[in-house]
Amino acid sequence: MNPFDYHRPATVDEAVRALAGTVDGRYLAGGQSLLPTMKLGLAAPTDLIDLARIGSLRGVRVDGGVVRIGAGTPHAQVAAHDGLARAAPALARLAAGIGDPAVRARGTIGGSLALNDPAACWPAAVLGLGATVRTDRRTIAADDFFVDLYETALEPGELIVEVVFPVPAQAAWQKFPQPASRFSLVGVFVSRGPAGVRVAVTGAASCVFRATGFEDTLAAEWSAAALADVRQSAQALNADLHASAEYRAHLVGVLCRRAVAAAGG
Amino acid sequence: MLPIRFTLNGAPVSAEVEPHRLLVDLLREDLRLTGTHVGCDTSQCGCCTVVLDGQPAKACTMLAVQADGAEVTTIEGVRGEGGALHPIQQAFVDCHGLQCGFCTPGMVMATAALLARTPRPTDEEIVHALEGNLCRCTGYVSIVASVRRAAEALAGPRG
Amino acid sequence: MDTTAPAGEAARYGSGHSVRRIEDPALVTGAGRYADDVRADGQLHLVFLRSPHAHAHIVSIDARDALAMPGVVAVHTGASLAAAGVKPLPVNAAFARPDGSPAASPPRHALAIGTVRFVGEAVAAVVAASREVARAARDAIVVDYQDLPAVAAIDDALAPGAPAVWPAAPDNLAARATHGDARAAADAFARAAHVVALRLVNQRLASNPMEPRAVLAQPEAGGTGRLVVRLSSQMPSGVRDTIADVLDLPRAQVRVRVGDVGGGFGTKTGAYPEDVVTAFAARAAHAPVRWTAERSEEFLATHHGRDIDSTAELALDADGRALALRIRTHANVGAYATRTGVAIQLRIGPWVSTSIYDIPTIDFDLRAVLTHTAPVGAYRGAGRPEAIYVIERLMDAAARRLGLDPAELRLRNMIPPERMPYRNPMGQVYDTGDFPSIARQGLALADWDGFDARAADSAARGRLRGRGLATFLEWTGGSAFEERVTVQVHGDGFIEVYTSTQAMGQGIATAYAQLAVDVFGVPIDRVRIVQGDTDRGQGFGSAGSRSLFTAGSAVQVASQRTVERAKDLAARALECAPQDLEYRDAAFSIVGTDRRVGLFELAARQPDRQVFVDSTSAVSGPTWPNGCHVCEVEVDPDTGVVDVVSYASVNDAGRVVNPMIVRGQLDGGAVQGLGQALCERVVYDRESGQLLSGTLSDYALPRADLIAAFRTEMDTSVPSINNPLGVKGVGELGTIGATPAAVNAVIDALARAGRAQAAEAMQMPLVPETVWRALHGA
Repeated sequence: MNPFDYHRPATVDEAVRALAGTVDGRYLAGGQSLLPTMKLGLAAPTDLIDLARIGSLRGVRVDGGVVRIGAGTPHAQVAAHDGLARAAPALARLAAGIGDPAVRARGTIGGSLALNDPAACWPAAVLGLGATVRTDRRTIAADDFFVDLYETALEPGELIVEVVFPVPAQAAWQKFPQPASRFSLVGVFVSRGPAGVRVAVTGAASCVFRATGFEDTLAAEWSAAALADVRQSAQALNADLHASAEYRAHLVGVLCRRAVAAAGG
Repeated sequence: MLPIRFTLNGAPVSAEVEPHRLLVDLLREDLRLTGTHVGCDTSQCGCCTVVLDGQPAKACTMLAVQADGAEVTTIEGVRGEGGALHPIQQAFVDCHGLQCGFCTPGMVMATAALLARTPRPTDEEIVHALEGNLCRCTGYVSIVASVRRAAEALAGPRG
Repeated sequence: MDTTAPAGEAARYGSGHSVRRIEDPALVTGAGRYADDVRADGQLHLVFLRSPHAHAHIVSIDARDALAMPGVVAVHTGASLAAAGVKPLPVNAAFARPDGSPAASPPRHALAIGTVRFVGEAVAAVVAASREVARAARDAIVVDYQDLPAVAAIDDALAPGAPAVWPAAPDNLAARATHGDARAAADAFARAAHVVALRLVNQRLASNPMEPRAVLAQPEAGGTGRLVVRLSSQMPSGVRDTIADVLDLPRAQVRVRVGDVGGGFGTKTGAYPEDVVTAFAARAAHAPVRWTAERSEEFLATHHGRDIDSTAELALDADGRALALRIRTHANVGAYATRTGVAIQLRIGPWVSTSIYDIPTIDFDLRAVLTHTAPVGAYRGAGRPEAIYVIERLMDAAARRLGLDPAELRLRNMIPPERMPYRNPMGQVYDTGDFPSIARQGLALADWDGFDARAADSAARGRLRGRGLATFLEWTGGSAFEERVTVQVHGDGFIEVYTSTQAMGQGIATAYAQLAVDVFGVPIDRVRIVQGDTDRGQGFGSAGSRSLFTAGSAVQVASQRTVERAKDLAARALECAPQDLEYRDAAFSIVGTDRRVGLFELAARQPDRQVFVDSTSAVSGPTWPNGCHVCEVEVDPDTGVVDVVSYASVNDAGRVVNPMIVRGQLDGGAVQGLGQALCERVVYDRESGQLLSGTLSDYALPRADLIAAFRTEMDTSVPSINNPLGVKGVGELGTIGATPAAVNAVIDALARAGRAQAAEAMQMPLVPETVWRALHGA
C-alpha cells in the first residue's frame, strides 16, 4: 500500500474541509472495500479522511414512515436494530447478508453507496425503495444517484451523511451469491409502497437498475404469478466466468418472483 | 508516524506507526505475535481474524491506526484457567476441528466473537458466523462441531 | 519377542484409539511456527516480478532505477543467474513423444531466460531491506516484452499451425504413453453387446493450501559456507537435493528445515523456481533472504492440478460384464512438463483405471500437451482422481443404458476377495481387498434402497433428488518404500523419534507417537516426534498418502529394535541373560523377581545418557485403500443450484491407528472432491492466456455451508499385507471418491427428470448455470 496522510476529523464539516485540502484524498468509512483496493495497488489516495470518530454519522432511527440510517452505520448494526427489523425487515435481511461477520462489523452503507460496486447489495435497496441520499450539501433521489460503473452523482468531496428510506407496505430482498466473492451474482429488491412499485436489480449489469417490465406488471397485479411470463432481456447484462448474460437474465425473473412471494404477493 | 494506544490481550500497548501500516503487520512483525496469519490478499480467507471491541475483524483489512483506542484480542490472548486451554480451544482439539492449524486462530477468534454475542447458536448461526473463514483441510463439519461443543462448555447444553 | 505393550498406556494412547493430537496445543494457541513466522537478524526481503504475458520474448530488462532506490540490495534476472552458473530445474519424465523422440519440455530456468511461457512466470527478483521497498523497486523495473501468440487450451495447442511452446515439440505433444492391447480392445468392442462412450473433462484446479508458500534462506552461522533453507514443504530432502544441484553445491552444503506446514495437498512437493532464487539470493547477499507468496502468486505460479480431457469407452456384454476399457486422454501439463505432472497422467493414474473391477482388456493412449499456462503437478490424488472419475462415470452411464441399478452393475464387475492378490491389466498387484463387502456396507449405511421415499419428499418441496455412487480403490506410496527412523531414549525421561516424512496437517506425529506408545508403553507425553531437518535424516517426504504405512511401519520397527537394544543393556545392568527379562510398563524386570530397571533410568546410566538406534526398514509394496461413497443431492430446478444433502461412506483403510484422524482425512478430502465437482475451476482466457480466476474472489473454494454432515465408517477387517502395521494410506481417498459420487448424483437427479443425455454431457464444475442449461436445454 502506498503511503498517505491520515486525518481523523470529529465532525462532518471538519471531514469535508479536510478532504478539500488534499490533492487526491478519499474518505475512509469501514475500509472493507477501499483498503483491499489500496492493497492491490488499484487506488493510491494521497490522504485518507477517517470518518470513524464522527458519531453523528452512525445510528438507525425509525421515524414514523421512514427509516433513517446514518451513512457511517456498520451493516451489523443495521441488521441487529429491532425497530428496523419490525418496520422494514427486508433491509435487515439485506444487511445481514453482506459479506461476512468481519465485513459487517465495519463496512458501512455510506461506503457501499459511494463506491457503487455493480454487485453491491445496498444500491438495490436504495433504488428498490426509492430512498433519499442526504449529503453534506444536498439530498439526492435514488433514481438520480446511481450513474454508471463505480460512478455516482456525488460531486468531488461530497460526503453522504444519511440515507432515508420510506417504509414500504411490502418489500423483499433476494440475493443469489457469486460463489467465490459472495457478492450478488444477481440481487433483486422489490417493494410496494406510497410511491408505487419498484424492482431494483444489482449484480446483473454495470450498475443497479430498475426492471421496469417487472414493475409495470406488478403495479397492475402484485403477485408472483403475474410475473410468470415476464422476461428480463439479456442485452447489456454482464457475462463473465461465473455466469452468462442469459443466465443472469433468467435469475432476475426467478429472484423477482421469489421476492414478491416473500413480500406477500 | 502517528502514536497509537490500544489494549491488546488485556494489556495496554503503545506504538508509533505509519498510517498505511496494516494491523496484521503491526501484530506479526512489530509485536512478534505470529499467531494471526496472512492467507490471502483479497480479505477473504479470514486467517487474520482478531476480535476488536467485541466484533470479529480482519486484521489484514484494517490500518493499525484504526485500532487506536480499541480493545483487541488475538489468539495469544485466548487462554483458559491456570495455563489450560480455553474451552473454545479445547473443543477444537476434542472435535478434531484443526489439521494444519493455519486457519485455526482465525476460526477460534471468530468463534469467540460469535459466542460472546450468541451463547447458544444454532448450527445455521454457526455456519453463518464462519462464512468469512476458509479452511482447506477439515471440510468444516468438525469445525462446526467444535463450535457447538465450545458453546455447550461455556453456556451449557442447548435446550 | 513380543514387545507390544500390554494394558496401561497403550490401552488408551496406543494405536486404535482416537487420541487427541499432540500437534494441537501449539497450533490452537497460535504457537505454530510456519515459515513466515520465523525471523532472522538482518533479514532481507525478496519479491518477484512476474510476466504479464502468456508467451513473449524478453527483449530487455532495465533495473537501473530499481537498483538506485535506497534499501535495494540486488535485482536478479535469468541472465544473471545463468552467468553465476545456476542450472535449470529438472523437467521431464522418462517418457517419449509419439514420434519416438525423448519427452519434450522447455528448460525450466529459475528466472525466465529469453522467453516467458505463462502469465505469472518469474522474470526478476528484487532483494531489499523491506517488503515495501522491494515492491516499489519492482514497480520501477522496465521489461520490454515482444508479445507472441499463445495457446492456453488443449485443443488450441493441438490445432494445426498452433504456436509451439517448445521447438522440440512442434505439435505441442510433450510425451505419450500407451498401455494395453489396441487390437484386443477393438475385438472386444466389436463383439460387445453394449458400448458406452463419454467425453470427460477433469478441469484444472488450484490447490490453495491456506498457508501460501514461503522461504527463508540464510548462510549458516559460524561461517561454515553452508546454506540453511527454511520453507513450507512436504519434501525437505527433495528440495535440498534440487537446490544444491541447481546451485552447483555439494548436497551436504545445503540444510533444509521445515517447521509447521499449513497444508500441502501435493503442491508443496519438490523445489520451485522461487525456492532456488531465494536460496541463490541469500548466498549472493551473504544475508538471510525471505520470500512469502501472495495468494495471487499461489494462483499464478504454484503448480495446478488435474486438467485432462478424455474420451472414454466401456464395452460390456449383455449381462453388463465389462469386456474392455478404452481411453484417449490429452493432459494439459502447462508450459513446463514436470516429472510429476507427466507421470501422474501417463502412468500413475492409469494404474488404477480399471479400479476394483475385473476388466480384462485395456487400450489407453495418453498424451501430455504443452500450453502457455502454469505447470501442472500433483494435487491430492495426483492422477488417481482423474482415473477413478472416468471409470465411475462410465459405470453409471452403463447402468443407465442397461437399465440396471448402478450398484448392481458395479457388483457384477467387482473383483471378488478370493481373487486376491489380483494383478490388474496395468500389472499392478492389489494385495488385499473385499470390494463387494465394502460396497454393500456403504450402500446399507447410505440407505440406498430407501432413496425413492426421500426423492418423493424432495419432490414435494419442489426439488429434484439424485443419488450418486463411487466404488473404487486407489494406489498409495510414491513408490518409495524404505524409511529411516532414529530413536533416542533420553535419560531425562523422553523418547525422541526422528522421521523424514513431513507433517502438513495430516496428524502423523500423533500416529507415530501412538505407535511408539504401543511398543514402549510410556505415557504419550513422553514421546516427541521430530521432523523437518535434512541434517537429522533424509527420505522421500510426505506425498501419495505414504507416511503412515512406510514411516509408521519404520517407527514401529525402530521402536522394537530399540527395546531389543535396551534389553541387552538392561541384561548387563541386571547381570542376567536377556531372555530372563520381560519389558512391561516402561521397565525391564527379571521374570519372577522384583529386580528391575526402568527404561529411562537405564538410558541415564549410558555413557551419553541415551539409548540410540538408527533404523532403516522397508515395506514390501504399495497399499490399495478403497471405499464406497454415496452422495445425495437436491437440485433446484429453477436455478440449477445443487445442495449436497447426504454423504455416506464406508472405507477400507486397513488397520486404523487413530480413527478421529482418519475420519478427518476422509471428510476433509471429500470436501475438496466436492469442490471439484461443484464449484472450483482455474480459468485462462483462451485468446490471451490471462488467468481469469486469479483471486479468491473468482476461484470458489468450499465454505462451511457446503455440507452439514458426513456419515463415515471404516472397515478394519482387511489389513494390508504389504506392511507390518496393516494400514492403508488414507490421505487422498476421500477426495477421489467424492467427485464422481457427487457428479453421478447430479446427473441422476436430472436423468430422473428426463434429461439423461444432456446431463451426461455436463462437465465439471457443475455450477448452477451448467445444471440449469442441462435441465432446460437452454
